[in-house]
Parts: sequence; C-alpha cells; structure tokens
Amino acid sequence: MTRFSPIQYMKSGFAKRMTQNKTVFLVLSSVLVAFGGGALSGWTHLAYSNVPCFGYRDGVPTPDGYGAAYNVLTTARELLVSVTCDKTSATVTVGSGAENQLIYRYGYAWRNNAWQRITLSSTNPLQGNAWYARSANATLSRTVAEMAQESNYVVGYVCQWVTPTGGTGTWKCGCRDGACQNSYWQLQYFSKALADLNTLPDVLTDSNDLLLAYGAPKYGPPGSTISLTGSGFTGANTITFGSRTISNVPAVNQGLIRFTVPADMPLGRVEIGVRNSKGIAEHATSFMVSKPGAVPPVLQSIAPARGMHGTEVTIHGTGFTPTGNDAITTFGPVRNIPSKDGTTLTLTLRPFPDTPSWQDGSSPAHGQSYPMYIYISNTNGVSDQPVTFTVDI
Amino acid sequence: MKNILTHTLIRRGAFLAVLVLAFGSGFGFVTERAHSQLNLLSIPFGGLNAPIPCTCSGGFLQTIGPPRPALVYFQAGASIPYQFFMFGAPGVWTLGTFFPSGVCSVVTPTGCANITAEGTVLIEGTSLEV
Repeated sequence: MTRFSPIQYMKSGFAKRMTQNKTVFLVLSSVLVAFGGGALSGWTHLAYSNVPCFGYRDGVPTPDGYGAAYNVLTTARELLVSVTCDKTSATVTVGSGAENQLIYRYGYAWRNNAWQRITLSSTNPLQGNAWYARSANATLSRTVAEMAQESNYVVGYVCQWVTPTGGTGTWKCGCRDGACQNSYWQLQYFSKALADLNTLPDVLTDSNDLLLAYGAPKYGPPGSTISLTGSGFTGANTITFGSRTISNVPAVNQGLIRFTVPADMPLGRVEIGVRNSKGIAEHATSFMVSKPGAVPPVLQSIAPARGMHGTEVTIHGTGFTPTGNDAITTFGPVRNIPSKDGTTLTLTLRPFPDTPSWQDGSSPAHGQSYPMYIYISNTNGVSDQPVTFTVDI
Repeated sequence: MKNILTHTLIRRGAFLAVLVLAFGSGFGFVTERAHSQLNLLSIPFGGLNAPIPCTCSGGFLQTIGPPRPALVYFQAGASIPYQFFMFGAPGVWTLGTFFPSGVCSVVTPTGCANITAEGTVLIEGTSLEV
C-alpha cells in the first residue's frame, strides 16, 4: 500500500520543485518581506505547548489487533490514550481519570522500528506494583524530525470496573469494542502535523449559523450511533436520514448531535441533513448503512499504480460486494463498481472529466503528477486505509 | 476540531522568519526548514471545498466556503495533504492553513490567465464523504 508521508512529500516535491524554480520562490519571498513591516502584525504564530497531537479517537477506525484509544464502554467515548506535544517531546496520558479505571504502569512506544517499553507515573499511588488508579502519564523526548513522522505509535492498557444494571461487576480490559470479548494493547499515534491541525481556530464553533460539517463514523449497521459535527444545533433538530425523518433530536451541545440509525433502515448509502429553527444545513454528509457483523473492505494493492488520465486500474483486496462498490477518490467518487470475485475491482480513473487538457495531455502543466487516494465503500463498510494511484497529466 | 492552543502573536519571530526565508531562498536552500518557517505565517481556513485544476501552472484553485472561507492555491509537492486526502473532490469539508501569496494559472482560448489566490496551502485535511 503506497502512502505519501509529509516528509516524503517535502523531500521529493517541495524542495526539488523550489530549487528548480527559484524565481517563483524569490518573488514569493519578496512579497513576504514587503509584508513584513506591517501586515505581519495581524498574523498568528502557532506556538507549541502541550497541544493535543493524537490521531485515534471516536470515528477513526482502530487498526486490527489493537484496542481503542477511547472508551468504547461509554456513550461519551472519552479518550483513554491521548498525547500532547511540544516541539521535542510528547506526553502520553493513559486513563480518563474516572474512578473505575486502573492503568497498567507500563506501555510501549514505537521508535527505531521497535517497540520500546515506557514507564508511566501518576500522582496516585501504585497498587499491587503494577497499576495506577484513574490515570497515568509519561513524557517521551523526541527529535524535531521524529515529531514530524506519522509513525509515532504508543500503546497503553486500561481496565475498567463495569457493573451492568442488575448484574455483577466485572473488569473489562483493553477493549476494542463494546462487547470487549478480548483484551488488547490500546493504540494511539501522534505527530507534529496533528498538532498543527489542532492549533487551528475552532472554525465550527466560531459560527452561530446552522452548519453541518461531517458525520462519524462513516458506516455502521442499523442501530449504530452517529455523531454529527457542525454548529448552530438546537434543542430540537430534525434529522433527514435518506428517506427517513427523525424529529426532535436534541443536540449534545451547539456543535454536536448524536442519533441512532433506525433499526429497520435498509442497507446502502444515505445522505444526512439537519434542519431546525435556524434553517436548513445546506451541506449534507453521508453514511453507509452496512450489514451487521460484516467485515469492511481491506485494500491490498492497485495495478498499475501510476498512469495517465483514463487509466483502467484493478484494486486487489477483500470484502468487495458483487455490486454497488463505490471508489471514493481524491477527485470525487466512482460509483456502482461490480466485483466478480469479491477480491478485485476494476475501474477507470478520470479526474476532472470536464477538463479536456487533463484528458489529452495538452495541458501546459503536462508532466506534473498527483497522488490519488482511493477508499472503497460498500454495504460491508468503508476501507480503513486507501490505496494510492499517481495520475500523470 | 477544537481550538486547543492559545494563539500567540510574535511579530519579531514572524519577521525574523521572513528574513531567514528570504535569505535561504536567495541561496537555493529551500528545504523542510523553510517549510516549517512558513508555518509561522500560517492562516487557517475551513469550509466546503470547490476545486478547479490550474491547467497551466498545475495544482488546484480551491474555493473554500464558510465559516472560514478562503481562495487558496493547492500546489502539488508543496501543499501537504492529510486524511482523508480529498483535496480535489468538491463538496467535502476542508480544514487547513495557508501562507499569503499564490497564483493559479488556467488555460484560456488566448493562452494562460492568472488567478490570484489569497495564498498557498501549507497543510490540509479533509472529511470523507462515502
């Protein structure tokens, strides 16, 4: 599976391009210098000090073989393994601080292509030589270059005392899902890029207007809980979910609504909208109602991995359905792709079909290439990771 | 997407970054370090994306809608995409930062025409619409 990391991008593209086209950059720098005396006063500096910089949370799939970084046993889905970053350090916090949690005193961090044990500490006393109550943390020193990597993985282990209504209490440890039949190390990752994104102003709650940005997760069976993020939500919202209407859904807060997929909802892709006393959210987000218990598609490779506009490619993987596979690509979706064997999908990639010069190679930008990321969505779910095709124009 | 960081205005640091950037570019030493310096000048944007290809210059001109609208130039190789990488798809939620200055050049019947953007994208993440 090919994936462009930020470092690869900068090394292969940015530096090379800029050294080849120094003139452009000189002009750009001149503009910046010209602005330096005055306009800079309005710009912000993104300082780094204990900025959340982790990737796994509710709505982001946890890789196979690991437990979730958030609490799958509660509706709040609070974080159980989180990370904050400075320029050259990352502080890992394990446990949400709840009374019913015990945190194993050791975790592991992925560094130099190996798992290295880390020792957590806490203001709470150690219990039985191995466990802290509520939460514990560890600070990891890293170089600037390491902080820029996307492979900064850490794992921790949290046990929770759970007492079902009318039942007997039990320990649930390293949970991956609500059933928690097995225990796993609970995985999180961090990077400077995630800190960068987290330092952006909260563009959603800046607005008081009704706005629907996105929903998470992107797929699930009937009965799943969907979280909608946006702004302007009120105490009584109407959700349009495909052909269904769900009335009087209260918001968790003005930026978050949760609702449940109707139990008798047919399988397939649906669009979600919101309206309330403030109006109608113009943007609809989407959701795939998937078969209960189905395993989502897993993408293994794409062939060819590079080509011109109009290249026919075959994606190899598992979990493809006989009909109704959608390829969600960087340049828009390709829908209703059949698969004869459940392991291959063949489709033609035509980004920007209304742009003739992209299709016939006559563009003055001829010779450039773009990464095209492709996810597959069907009634089994949505692939966790994309495959990448490089399109030459 | 919570605003978790206190934004600190450091005029001196930003101006210094510009000088270092200009110095570096003059000698062709434009590397990851310069990119991180550009980060000092980053301006956030966020909203729905309506992209068009820049058929002369390469890259894409992205019209970002409310609540934090912008007209930005996504330059392949320089702009860094993050999950879910849908920078060329219309109608997806897009969030990122740009630095001032950017030009998209498109084919017209009489040649190439420049469209001046508010800036060039530094980093950009998108939603995934299935």
